[in-house]
Amino acid sequence: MKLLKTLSLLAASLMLSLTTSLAHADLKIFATVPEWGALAEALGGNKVQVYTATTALQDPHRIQARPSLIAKARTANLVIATGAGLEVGWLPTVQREANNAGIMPNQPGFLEVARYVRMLDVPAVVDRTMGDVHAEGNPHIQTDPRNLLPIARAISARMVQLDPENTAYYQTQLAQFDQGWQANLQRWQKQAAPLRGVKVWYQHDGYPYMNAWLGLNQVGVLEPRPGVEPSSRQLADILQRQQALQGRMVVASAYMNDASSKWFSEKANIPEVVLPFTVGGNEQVKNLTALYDDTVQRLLGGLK
Amino acid sequence: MSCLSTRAIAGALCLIPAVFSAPLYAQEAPDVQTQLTQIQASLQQMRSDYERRISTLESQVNQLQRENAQLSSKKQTTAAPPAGKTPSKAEQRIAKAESIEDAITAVAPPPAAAAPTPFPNLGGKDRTIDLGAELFLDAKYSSQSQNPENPYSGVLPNGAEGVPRGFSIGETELVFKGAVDNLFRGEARFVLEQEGNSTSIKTEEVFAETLGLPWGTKVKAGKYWSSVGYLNDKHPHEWDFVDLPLVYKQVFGGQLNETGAQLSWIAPTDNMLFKLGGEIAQGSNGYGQSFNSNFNQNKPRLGTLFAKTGGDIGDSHSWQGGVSWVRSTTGSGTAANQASYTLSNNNDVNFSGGNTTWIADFVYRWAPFGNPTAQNLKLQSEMFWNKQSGSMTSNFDCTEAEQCIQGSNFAQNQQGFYTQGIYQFIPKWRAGYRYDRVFNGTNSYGLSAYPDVLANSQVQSGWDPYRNTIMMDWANSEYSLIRLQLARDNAYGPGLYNNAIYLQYIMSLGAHGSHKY
Repeated sequence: MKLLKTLSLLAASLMLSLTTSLAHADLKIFATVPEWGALAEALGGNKVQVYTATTALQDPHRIQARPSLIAKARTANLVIATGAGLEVGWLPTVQREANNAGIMPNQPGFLEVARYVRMLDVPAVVDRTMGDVHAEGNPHIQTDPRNLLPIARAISARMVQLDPENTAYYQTQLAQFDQGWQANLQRWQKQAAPLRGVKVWYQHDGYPYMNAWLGLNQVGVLEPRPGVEPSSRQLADILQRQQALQGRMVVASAYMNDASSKWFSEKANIPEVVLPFTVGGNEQVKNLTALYDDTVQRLLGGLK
Repeated sequence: MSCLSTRAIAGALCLIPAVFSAPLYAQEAPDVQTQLTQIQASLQQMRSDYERRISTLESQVNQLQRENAQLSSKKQTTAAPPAGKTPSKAEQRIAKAESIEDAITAVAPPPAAAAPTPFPNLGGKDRTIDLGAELFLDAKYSSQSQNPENPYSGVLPNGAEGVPRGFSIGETELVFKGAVDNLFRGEARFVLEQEGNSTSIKTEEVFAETLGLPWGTKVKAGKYWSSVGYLNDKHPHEWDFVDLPLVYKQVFGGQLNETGAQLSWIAPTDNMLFKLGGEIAQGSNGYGQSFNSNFNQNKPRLGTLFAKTGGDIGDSHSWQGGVSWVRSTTGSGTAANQASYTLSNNNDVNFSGGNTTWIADFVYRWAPFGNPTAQNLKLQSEMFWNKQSGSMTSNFDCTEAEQCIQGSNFAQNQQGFYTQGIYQFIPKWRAGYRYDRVFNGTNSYGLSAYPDVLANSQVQSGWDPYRNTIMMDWANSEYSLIRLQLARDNAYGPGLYNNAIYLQYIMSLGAHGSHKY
C-alpha cells in the first residue's frame, strides 16, 4: 500500500511539471507518413514540432500500434494522416488509446489529406476477395506532386486554426512553398517529357497518380491482388504477356521486397526501377523536392 | 473527366458504323472501290465534325473551370480573416499559382479542383451510420489423451473450459462498435458458444467510454475485460495459441472480465508511454466464477490498479511492460458471496475471505526497420503472484464429522508464469513456442487428516503442473488464419499426461479491425 502511495505521488508530481512545461510549447504535429511530416515542416517552420510515425522503409498499411505511437499521439495538437483507409489498421487504435480528445475524428486536430484531392481508382464494388482494396480509392496520393498544392493549403489552414497567433507566419510559409512548388512542377514537367506514353509494369498498384502526372502507360501489375505476392506461375504468365505488351521497365517501391520485380526484370530483360515512394526512400531523398527529382531521374534512367 | 468521356463516346460512335457496315458493302463486288472511298470520305467528315465539336466543348469546359476557380478564390478572400498586408500578398500568390497550375497540361484534371475549402462535408444525409460490425468465426478439431471436462489438479479457481475433443466450434463473436456522439464511444461483443449439443449466448463486452475528457484521462464503464496484465484484454481471435496459459486459468479462471468502471490516465511524456489506471467492479463475473455471486449487492467487491510503460529502441525494436494489482473479497457471513471448490469425492468446500494478485508483464517485438510484413518476432511473458486468505467451510451434509471443516483458517500462496515466442519467418507463416507452469503452494485446507479427498481435486496441494506448447499458423490475409498446435502437459494430476493436438481456423468478416499492441 505504501508503494501505491508513492507511485501516485510520483505520478501527480510528474503530471504537474509536464502540464506547466507544455503551456508555451510549439504546435505538436503527428504525421503518419514521411511526406506529410516533410510538408508540415515546410509549412510550419520553427513554429511546429513534427513527429513522423513511420519511415520510408515501413509499409504504412501494416504498422503496430506501439506504445511510443500512443505516447506521441497523447501530446499531439494535430494528427496529419493520408486517410482513404491507408492507416485504418492502426491509427484508430492509436487515437482511441491516446486519451487525447483533440485528435479524434472530426476534431480540428485530425486532418485526413486525401479529402482534398481527387481520388483515382475508386472501385464501384469492394469485396474481400479483391485483396487490400480501398473503398475510398487508391491512397498513394503523394506520387503526384500536384496533389501537394491543395494539401499544403489544407494543412496550413489547420495550423492557422489551431495556432491563430502565428497566422501571418503560416500564410507566408504557405505562399513561399506554393511559389517554389509551382516552379518545381514546371521543371519536372519539362524533364519528364520523354516519359509520356512509356509502357511500365508495376510490382504494386501504387502509382495511378504518378501515371496521371507523367502520362506513363501502366501495362500491368505483378501483384495479382493488392498486397499479395505473385506466385511463380503468375509471374510466368506475366512474362508471356510481356512479349506482346513490350513494357519498357518494371517499377518497385523502396519499402517492399522487390524479389518479384527483380526476377521479372532479369527474365524480360528490361530495367528494374526502385522508386523512393516517399521522403527517406533512399539516401538522396531527404526532402520533398528531392523525392520528385529522384523519382523523375530514376524513371528517365529506366528508358536507357 | 467530362471531356475525356465525351471523347470516348465520340470515338465509339465513329467505330460503330465502321464495324457494322464494312462487311455488308464488301459483298457488292462491282463498285466496292467507289463505295469504299465514299465511306472513307464520310467517315473523315464525321471525324472532323466530332473533333470540332469536342474541341469547342473542351474550351467551354476549361472556361467554366477557370470561372469556377476564380469564384472560389474570391469566396476565400471574402471569408479569410483580415490579418494585415501579408495574407493578401499570399492570396495573390496562390491565385497566380492556381493559374500556372491550370496552364500545366495534365492527363487527369488538376487535383486542385477538388475540395479547396479547409473543412469538407464530413458525412451528410447520404452517408449511413457505420456500426463497425465484425464477425469472427472459430472452429477446431482436437484430439487429447485426457478428458478436458475433468478439472485440472490443484489449479484454482479452474474456470475456462478446455477445448472439447473432436470437432467443435469455439467462440463465434459478433461485434458492434463506434462513436455514439462527439463525447462517447460504445462497443458491444456478443459470443455464441458451443455447450455440448446446444449453443449459449454470452455478453462478452458491453461498454461505453469517453472521448472528450481533458488531461489524458478516460472513463470506461460497463462489462469489459480488465486492463490488468497483458493477455487479459485480448480477445480469443487475437491469441497466438489455441488456449490461454495455465496461470490465467489458475488465477482468473480464464480472463478477468468485470462489470464496473475504469479510470485511466496517460502522462504527457514525449517518447515513452506511461499509463496508470484503476478499476472498481462488482466482482460478480470474475476471479473465475468463484466469487460469482455478488450480483445485486450495493458494495462492489473487486478493485484493480495497473501501470504500463513502453517505448521503442531504434526503428526495429519496441517493448511494453506493466505491473498490475487485483484485490477481491467475498465478504463475510453471507453465503451469497462465497466461492466453492470441489473435492475429489465431489463434495464442495466454501471459501470466504480475500484474494490479492500481483501481475508483472513484459512484451518485446522486433520487426526489421519497423516493417513487420515479411518477418517479425514477438516475445512475451507474464508472472502472477496470488494470495488467498480466509476460511474454508464444508458445504455438504457431513456424514463423517471428521471430514467437516467449519471456518478453518487458511492462507495459500500460488504463483504461475508463462513465456512464449512467436516468429514470423516468411510472409504469412508463423511458428511459436510457449512454456507455462503454475505453483500451487501447500495447504491442507483444514483437512490434513484426510489427504485423499484433496488428491487430484481442484484444491490438491503441492502439485505444480507445467506445459510445453508449439504451434504453427498460416494467414492467407489479415482476415483468415489456420493454426496447428501440439501440447503436452501434466495439469490433470500426477502421472496424467495430456498429449493434445489442435487444428483451428479463425476467420473475420466485416470492418477492418485494428489491434492493440
